[in-house]
Amino acid sequence: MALTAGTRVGLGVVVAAAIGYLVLSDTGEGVLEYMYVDQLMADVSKHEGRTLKVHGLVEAGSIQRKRGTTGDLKFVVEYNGQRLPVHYTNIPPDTFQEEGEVVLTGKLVDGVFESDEMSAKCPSKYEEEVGKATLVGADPKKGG
Amino acid sequence: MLISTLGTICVLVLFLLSVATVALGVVGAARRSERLIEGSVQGIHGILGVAVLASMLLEYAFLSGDTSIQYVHHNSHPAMPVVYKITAFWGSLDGSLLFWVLLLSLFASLAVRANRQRHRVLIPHAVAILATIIGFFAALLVFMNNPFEPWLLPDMAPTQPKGLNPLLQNPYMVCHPPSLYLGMVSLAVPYAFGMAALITGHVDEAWQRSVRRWTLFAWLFLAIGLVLGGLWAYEELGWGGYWAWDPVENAGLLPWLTCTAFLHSIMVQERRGMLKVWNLVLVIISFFLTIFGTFLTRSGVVQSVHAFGEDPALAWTFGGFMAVILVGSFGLLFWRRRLLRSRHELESVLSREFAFLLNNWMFLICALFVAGATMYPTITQWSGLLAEKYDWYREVMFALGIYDESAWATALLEGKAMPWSRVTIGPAFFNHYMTPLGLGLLLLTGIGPLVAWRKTSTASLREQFIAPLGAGVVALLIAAFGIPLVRMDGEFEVLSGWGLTAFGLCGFTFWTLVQEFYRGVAVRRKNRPQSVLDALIGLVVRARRRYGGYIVHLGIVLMFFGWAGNAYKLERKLGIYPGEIVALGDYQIEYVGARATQDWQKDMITVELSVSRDGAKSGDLEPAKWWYYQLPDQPTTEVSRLMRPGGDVYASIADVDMSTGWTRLNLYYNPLVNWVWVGFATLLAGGIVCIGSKREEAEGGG
Repeated sequence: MALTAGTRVGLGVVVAAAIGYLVLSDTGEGVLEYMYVDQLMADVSKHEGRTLKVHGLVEAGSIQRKRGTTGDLKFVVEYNGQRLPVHYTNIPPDTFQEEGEVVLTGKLVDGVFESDEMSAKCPSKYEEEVGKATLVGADPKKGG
Repeated sequence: MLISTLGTICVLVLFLLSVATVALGVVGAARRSERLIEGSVQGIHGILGVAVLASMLLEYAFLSGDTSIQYVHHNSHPAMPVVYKITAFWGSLDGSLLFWVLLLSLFASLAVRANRQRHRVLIPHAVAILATIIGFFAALLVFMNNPFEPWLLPDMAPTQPKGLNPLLQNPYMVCHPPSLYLGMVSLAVPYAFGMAALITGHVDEAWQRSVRRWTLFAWLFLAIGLVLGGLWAYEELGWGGYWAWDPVENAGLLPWLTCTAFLHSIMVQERRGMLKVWNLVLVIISFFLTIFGTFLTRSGVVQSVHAFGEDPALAWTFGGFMAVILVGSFGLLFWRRRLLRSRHELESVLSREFAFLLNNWMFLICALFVAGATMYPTITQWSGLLAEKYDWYREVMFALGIYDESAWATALLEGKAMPWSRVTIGPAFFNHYMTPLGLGLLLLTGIGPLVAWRKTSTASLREQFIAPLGAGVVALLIAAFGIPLVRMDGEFEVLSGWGLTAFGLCGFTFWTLVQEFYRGVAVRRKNRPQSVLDALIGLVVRARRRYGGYIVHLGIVLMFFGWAGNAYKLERKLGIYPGEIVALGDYQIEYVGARATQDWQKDMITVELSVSRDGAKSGDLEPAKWWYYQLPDQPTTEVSRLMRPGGDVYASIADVDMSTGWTRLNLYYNPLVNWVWVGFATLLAGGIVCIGSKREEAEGGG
């Protein structure tokens, strides 16, 4: 390319400055640790109070929500035999259900996972039970 | 049972026919045998025939409710409306692969037909490459994911239909996946012709002429798919937004980004004979990204709420195919590098070439960034799994300080889970980097048409930039002082640097477009007296590609205008009793009451909200929860919104206590959000204008 050396250096400096600014001003807010319930429970003290994402299966019969009742949602997520009580304070996704797979964002406070963000497996997965056989703890008879 | 057998035979024939077509194309080209080449062309048309037959069989199975086929049982329900039975065809993995084959064979057949005479030398190679891609997907159908698979024993066939998810019964969901598929699949055509050009050494502009429209087509349908997905999320899911940087969304965005880059850079090659290698790189990457996207969404490699499930065998197969594509394509490119020298060199940074080059770099950086950030969680996971399995890898990680050796030793002793964790990348991270990149692209959208090819003189620069710069400054000032600052009990005061920048750039870019249209109209009216409207229409019709492009840019500006509103978004989540009034920005929202009703398929609880602004009533909101009788444990969230040019008041409910009327509401004020949809409609119109252009058109607009 027939650009002068000065132009090239100038362009390089501008690009480097822009990238530098962006990286330095990154608060790290979007980057979270993600783990399964058993990994979280393996070292509770390390994770206590930090915002993170937890992946697990909603324990059958653990959802304390009945139609038309007040109150926040309480349930238990489990994985590999480890259980974690959850206190959830937002609209649950429409696909939220017992024995369903969920990923919760929140903090572990006094042994309860306080969360206000949840994603549940999308309903495009009618075939869940086929793939689920590989997932430890899932009941293969019940699908999404 | 019959359908299942016939379908399986079809799928098998599809695979064998693709293999035969590849062989005919390759041998025919090597021996220059017209007869064999003609055979391969017929082979492509034959593949289409069989693919249509297989698809019709699957549709028939759905419409007749043939639950002896596993796929049909899993994906349909007797009570489903017919349109959803039809779309259930591609509703899940196996069928979507067949749908992919159907579309690809249709496009291959059309592209071969259209170019058979004009680009004769390219045909056998293009046919062989297209048939290879079809063959790959057909092989998946035959060996791994046959949608016609019956139950192993006939008496295993269930009699009870499966539950039906009402979430997917939505017009957007009928259109959104097929649009994305159309876009993704059609990118195989430019790739096949690009590779054929490399193989034959005919790397002049001929191959591009035959694929420009295909790329435009792909680009349009990717955009439609992405926006419909966003609309669906916005209107159905109730979290107040439309884009969350989910891996599956990203999978559709990636090829769109590189497609956009390609549509710009081919203009540079047409006009100046530059960027030849680059254009081929973009075609390869775009196609690769469509396969990569399919891999992401279909193999369960990336954790996503939309993904189809974990399937390691499929992941490895796709991984192998992607490796072949990359090595083969870039190998060819390297082999032919001498043929791809530029005719000209870049002369100045104040040239349109340079603006295009910057635009391309930025699109590619966007794509690489999104791809990297999407894959990063998976990489951290693989790393952890590898470390659990292999000593040498673990040692390397300890040595690099990425994992803590003592923590691992402790965990091992105590028999606990290993102390590695995956890292997730959330929307905040994407937004932090993509916002400035997007705004940079918006700036280039404005600059591009203002600078001349080769070199812009200072005088012309001044003449071109003054008015748009003025408009940008005015827009910035209006945004900074004119937007009624959002008040909310003194709690909120929103001022966003990026938001203001976006408004300023929207003003600047908008004015460059106005200026271009104004000048064009003025010239036409000077040459021949006519009304402004006539002149405008004449202008667009005569140079469709250039002015169609400008209309697309106008759409982009409007979409950015809508996105800029996001910086001023308000959100309130609270529990209230009937009679209470909540402030949301300038709006007052009164909770009137809740009512419970039923119809034949569901129970409904509806919350009535009365919205007013400065004492004047604006309208009512009625967010609801529905319990379908089929799925009593999965209430659906029904969003309600008041649409205004200035923004949406958007409400959804989490919970209602019918005895006291207490409800927990999620309220959002989304300023300017509807401009995103308006901008998209404009973009669509511009794209259609472009697609209709004659390729010979000399106009090389921006």
